[in-house]
Amino acid sequence: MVKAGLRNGYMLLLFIIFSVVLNEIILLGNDLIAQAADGVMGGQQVDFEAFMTPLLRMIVLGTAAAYLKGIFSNHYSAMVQRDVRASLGKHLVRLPFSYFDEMGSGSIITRLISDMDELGRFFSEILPNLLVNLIVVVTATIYLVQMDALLIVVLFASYPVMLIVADRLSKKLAQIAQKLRTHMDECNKKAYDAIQGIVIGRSYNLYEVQKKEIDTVIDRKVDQACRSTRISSMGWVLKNVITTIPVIVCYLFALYETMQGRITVGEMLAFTVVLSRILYPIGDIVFCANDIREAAVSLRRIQEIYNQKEEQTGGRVQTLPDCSKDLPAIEWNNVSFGYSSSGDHPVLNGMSFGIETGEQTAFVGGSGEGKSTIFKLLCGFYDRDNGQYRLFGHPFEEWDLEAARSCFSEVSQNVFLFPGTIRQNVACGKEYATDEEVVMACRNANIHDFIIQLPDGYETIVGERGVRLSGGQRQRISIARAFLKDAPILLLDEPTAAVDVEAEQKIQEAVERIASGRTVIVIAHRLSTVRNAKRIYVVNGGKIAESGTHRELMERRGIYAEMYAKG
Amino acid sequence: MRKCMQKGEVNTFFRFMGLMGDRLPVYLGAILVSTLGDAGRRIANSYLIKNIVTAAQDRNTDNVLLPVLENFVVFVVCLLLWRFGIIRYNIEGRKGAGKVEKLVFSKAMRLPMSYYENNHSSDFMSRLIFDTQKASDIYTSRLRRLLAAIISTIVYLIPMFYFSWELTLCMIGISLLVFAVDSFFAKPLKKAGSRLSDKNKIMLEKLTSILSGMELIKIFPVGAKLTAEYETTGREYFQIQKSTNRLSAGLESLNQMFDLIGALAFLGLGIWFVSQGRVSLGALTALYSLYGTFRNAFLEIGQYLPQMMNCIANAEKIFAFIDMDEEPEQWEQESAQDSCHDSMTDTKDEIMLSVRNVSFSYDCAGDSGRKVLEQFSMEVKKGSYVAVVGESGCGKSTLAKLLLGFYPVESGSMSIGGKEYQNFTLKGIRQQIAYVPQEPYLYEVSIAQNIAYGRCGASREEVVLAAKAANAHEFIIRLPDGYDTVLGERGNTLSGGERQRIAIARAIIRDAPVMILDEATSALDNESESLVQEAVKKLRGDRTILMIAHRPSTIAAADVVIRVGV
Repeated sequence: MVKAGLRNGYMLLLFIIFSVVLNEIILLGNDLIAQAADGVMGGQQVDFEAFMTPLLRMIVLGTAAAYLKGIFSNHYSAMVQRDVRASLGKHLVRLPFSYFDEMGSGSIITRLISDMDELGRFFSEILPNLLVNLIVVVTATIYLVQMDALLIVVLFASYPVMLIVADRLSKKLAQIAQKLRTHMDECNKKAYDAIQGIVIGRSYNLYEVQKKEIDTVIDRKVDQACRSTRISSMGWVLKNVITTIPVIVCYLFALYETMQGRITVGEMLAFTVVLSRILYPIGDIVFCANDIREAAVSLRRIQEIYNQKEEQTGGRVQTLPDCSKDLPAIEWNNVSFGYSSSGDHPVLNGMSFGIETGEQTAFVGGSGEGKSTIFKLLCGFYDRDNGQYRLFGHPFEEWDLEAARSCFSEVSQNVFLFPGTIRQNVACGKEYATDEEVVMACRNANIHDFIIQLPDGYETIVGERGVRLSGGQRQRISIARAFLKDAPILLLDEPTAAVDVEAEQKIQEAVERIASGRTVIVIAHRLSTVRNAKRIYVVNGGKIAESGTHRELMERRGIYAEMYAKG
Repeated sequence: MRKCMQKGEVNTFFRFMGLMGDRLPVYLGAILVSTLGDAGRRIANSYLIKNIVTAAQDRNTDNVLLPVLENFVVFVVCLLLWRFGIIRYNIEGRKGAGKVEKLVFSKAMRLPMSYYENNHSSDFMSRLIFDTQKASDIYTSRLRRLLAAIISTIVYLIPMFYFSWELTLCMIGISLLVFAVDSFFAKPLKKAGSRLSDKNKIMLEKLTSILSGMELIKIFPVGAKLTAEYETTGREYFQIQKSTNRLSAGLESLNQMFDLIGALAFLGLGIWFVSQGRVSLGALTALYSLYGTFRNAFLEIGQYLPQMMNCIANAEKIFAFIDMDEEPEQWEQESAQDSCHDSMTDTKDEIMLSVRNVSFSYDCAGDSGRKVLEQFSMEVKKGSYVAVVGESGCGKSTLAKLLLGFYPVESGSMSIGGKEYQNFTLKGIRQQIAYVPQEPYLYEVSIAQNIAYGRCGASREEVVLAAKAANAHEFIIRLPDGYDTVLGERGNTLSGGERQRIAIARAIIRDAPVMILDEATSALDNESESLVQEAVKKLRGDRTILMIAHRPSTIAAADVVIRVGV
């Protein structure tokens, strides 16, 4: 973020240059007028034409400078925003999966929207404002020093007090701003939640309940906002009183200096004019701190996202080893893992297993036993807490994450469909997939016939959560994606649940087609579907309780046999 | 000000202000008080300058201190007046903004189901957050700024005319030119504003895709493509920003030009007037110091008017949203029935659900007119356990949605508990049904609250009982915070089966005569499924259960199997 600010710094520099030019023009004009005033006081006649020509020239130059100044400051802001957006997008996709699990994407979205807004404001308003004010004050101060240095001493003598007051106030205000933002987040999250769950809300008549909840959150936010105006308005009153006293002192002092003959009446006139010009900027600079603190809350939160460590990239193993055929695809030794960072409630508790290349392996076990967690760890979405994990013979840490993930494709019903066409959704399985490849993959996944009977065929738009496609159809789209990806290991989640007989046949066919020649790992709930697996692991209590073929396990009369009897 | 607005905008503006209701007079009064306070303090300052310069010119300091003190007192009084006004104003403005937010959010919950299915939900996010924030800015900053600028412009003119009417007239002339320029810029700026907001929406959608599709991005090589798309939209946004910048810089520089003309040429003219003896130097300086604030206020009108226009564009969007059709109280009303009681008639009618010759199609782009259900009929006896089966995409889920009143049927009729659907309000129908959808949503509240949503005012004991019945209790108490565990977005930290069991507990606690489960046990493993099946059977009593299913085991447990298919 700071980098984006600096990279486009030349725009800011140009902006500063033209601001200085504009100010110098104004001060020059001022000088001209002060001289004329002294002339008038001295009883001379004013040569109107000689007086107006330089003024007109100044107006033209000033207008041009103002235009360029505006262009550069606005462009600067837009460019920084553009760069931040671009790098943020890239950064987001590289963040570890766990970050999104913890944050919830709703809160990330609102954060990004309103904070990007604030960021835009910082670069388009707050920062240029501060700079303009600084430039006005500095140039005017130099101008005044040349006239009478003592005046400046008097003017600035009382400012330390103001600085202290302003500092206190703005700290307080920053706290309030932070609180207000949290309330806003809360508010948006609540509304987002209600709309995401509208099906439940509607069928359970939750409208009144949820409205009340949202209203309460909004009211709390409004209260917070009202409280903050009391404090900030008091700040403004104080600011004005504090700034006005030195000004009055200055006027009186200027009057005294004039009476003493140290400055002319014309100069005093110039002084009052310039003073009234810098009065507002001087007060504003001090109080700019408020704005900056408020913006800093947003900037810090964006920075927070930036500071999130990206998933490590690089790693010794960049491609699949040649000898992969002979190596076991996956070996786990004593792997432990829990979602809470404190290490409480481990989901996996010293789990060990091996998966041979080219074989079909199934995991069975009660729900909540951590079968899906195994998949998440296999793909490196989470880091295990303890134990070893080898992928094709190499320790997982040595793998480049992207390369490791290219070994896996996942087939499941809970696939996410991007808002876009079916073609785009399938094509995301492979970079630069051609239309032919997409169609081929869909044929292989037994979904082609369904797609072409849709009015728009492959160009049919699927919704955010693929509302209009059934679980079976979505599963087949995920199979088509997997065909395109052509990865050596296939993760199959609940392959045949929740589809009718005919669709099940189609899916079964497609699954068999994609499974051939690959290492297949199945999470199964229907024991009937895993009978043909080369090896079955029974997960219980975060460990592998039993393993073997169907026949072996049945003979063992353990957990598996019991489950099978029930199913 | 109003003249350069289109009529539609004026209407939108007044309608938006109307949302304030009774608060409006207090709100406007507060704006007036705070503005007068602010203007008063500046006028006091200009008199101060006049006194001092006159003293310097006359070389006479005898009568300076008293007026200076007087001016200071006036100054402080004006400040306090300002503070009083601004606090009141902020309270009223914020409350108004809160009201708009409530209105929009509650509207967002009342749209017909088809809207949610056809629209990306970031559409709502964009509308709710971006547009509401911008539109509420009218209350919390834009209107006051504009009004303050207009009022103080007028107020400043009074002492200015008093100091020198000739010079003041000159300034008004310049100011009118500025005004013309500003209104010339107002329209294109507004257009650019709504273009920016549209692009922003697309950008948001791309971002949402990235965030929600994170799992996919990690596995498939789409991350780069999606970020590239996001970046491209970002760059397009930047291009629009750039052209907007040119406009606003143009406006800014023209304003600056008039500022310079005012400051330099006017002062030059003033000196000439002084030399002619028409104005005193003190009055000229005072006039100039006041002119600075007058000019600022006047330029602010030009600045804030386009900003206000942008906000009105956002308000227009919000009104377009608010004016959308909501889901009605009931789909069609039988004229003979003047009042409908949502309680079921306590007849000993044996038929609980009856669907007669119902046809239905989703009329939206994509599958226009394709009949999902055609002339479908079924009857379900009270207390029976029915499995609804059929090919995927044949309309089983649609049937559930129709029974819940999410959509009106195209033709045919339905009844529940012997009472026709048109005699119920939609709310009434839904009271009779406990529904577990295919992908049950869990709210970002505690698990207990999620279950308690099933029935208003359910106690903790009832929640636990329901969770036990749904075979969810065991895993819930194993969670770090047990029933008070707040679920992350979409219950991500729970497995599919666990989420489903919480949804089933929610349906159980509802205690409704009809229960519809849409593939509710599909994500469960054998063991939990049989436990849920048991729970459902235990619960049966008089209840009628409609189970949309595929599994042979589920189908086998049912009394009746109904096949749906075109």
